[in-house]
Amino acid sequence: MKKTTKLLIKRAIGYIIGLVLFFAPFGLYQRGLMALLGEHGNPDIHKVCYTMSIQSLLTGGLAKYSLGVALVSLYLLMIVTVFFGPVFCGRLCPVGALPEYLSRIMPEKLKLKLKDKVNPTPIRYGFLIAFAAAPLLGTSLTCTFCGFSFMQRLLNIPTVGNIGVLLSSTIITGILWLIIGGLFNAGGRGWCNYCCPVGAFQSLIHAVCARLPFTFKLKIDRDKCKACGLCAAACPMGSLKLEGGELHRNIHSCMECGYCKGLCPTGALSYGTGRDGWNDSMISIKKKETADEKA
Amino acid sequence: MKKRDLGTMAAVAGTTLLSASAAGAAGCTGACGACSFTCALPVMGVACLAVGGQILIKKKSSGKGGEKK
Repeated sequence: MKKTTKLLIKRAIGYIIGLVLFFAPFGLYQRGLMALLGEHGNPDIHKVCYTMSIQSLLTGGLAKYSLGVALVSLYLLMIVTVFFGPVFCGRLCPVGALPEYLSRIMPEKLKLKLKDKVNPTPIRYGFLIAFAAAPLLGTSLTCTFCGFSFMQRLLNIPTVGNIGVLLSSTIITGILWLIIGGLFNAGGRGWCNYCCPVGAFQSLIHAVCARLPFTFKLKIDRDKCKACGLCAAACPMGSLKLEGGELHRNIHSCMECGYCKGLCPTGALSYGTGRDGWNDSMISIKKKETADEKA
Repeated sequence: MKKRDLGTMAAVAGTTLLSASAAGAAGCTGACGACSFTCALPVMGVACLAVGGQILIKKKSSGKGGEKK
């Protein structure tokens, strides 16, 4: 079996675990937490609803929440992101994984290379700002464009027997998430890259916390890196790029899925604590070059 | 972050907020679904054009004309 296939299967197992943990009819995570907190209700994705609680956190509306499943989940997500980066996106979230895996069956020539052409950072953070500020203008974007809700609807077909109420915004979400951002997009993570507020929120935390030495992050050993570009070509989020013979990473879109680490033939990429090596090494290389020039 | 990126971020945030508040002001809650086709068809059209355009550009650049320098 090819190394890439093995890695894809390994990652898919994580996403299936995420599906069983967070989505009805399983919802094992919600069931466990509800039993612990003495709550009742349906164990579907709405019980957790990261989008609503993130919006409440950003607009100062958390006071209305009691310490229930949603609030505890938000705090857990934040703590995990502080220490381990956006691993929920990279290792568990089936909503991002479904379009990514679907896009792999589409011929490459039919795919748009959005990640190479459009920088996702300003768009995802711009959308996060709008998402947070919308309630101040008397409106909300939480349920209007929700990939999580759409995934739950898809799962409802075999279990409940219908897809639920299909609203205009739901159809647009489906088209953006599965077709434009998924099937016809290289990497298949267009929705995650440009539209997901949960991912953008985690990236924001990770971009700050990755500077701390005790947090986990994607690291590079510049001495081992041969700049072969294998990781850059495979990264589903388009976070890695080869420029001027050097590998660069966009921390604002990296979801710490570990696919690049597994593919690297020289073991230059790793996931761990300490200095990440991305900027420091570049500085040291530049310093070395200047020293050589002077000599 | 570059100035251009900050501009893009502001533009995305602004247009999203404007369209959301305009829809809200017009009484749209996204609940009735009556405009499904009027909303969905242009999006699908744009997607088809984008995919088609991408293929045409690729064919052109690898064909007789070659890439412009």
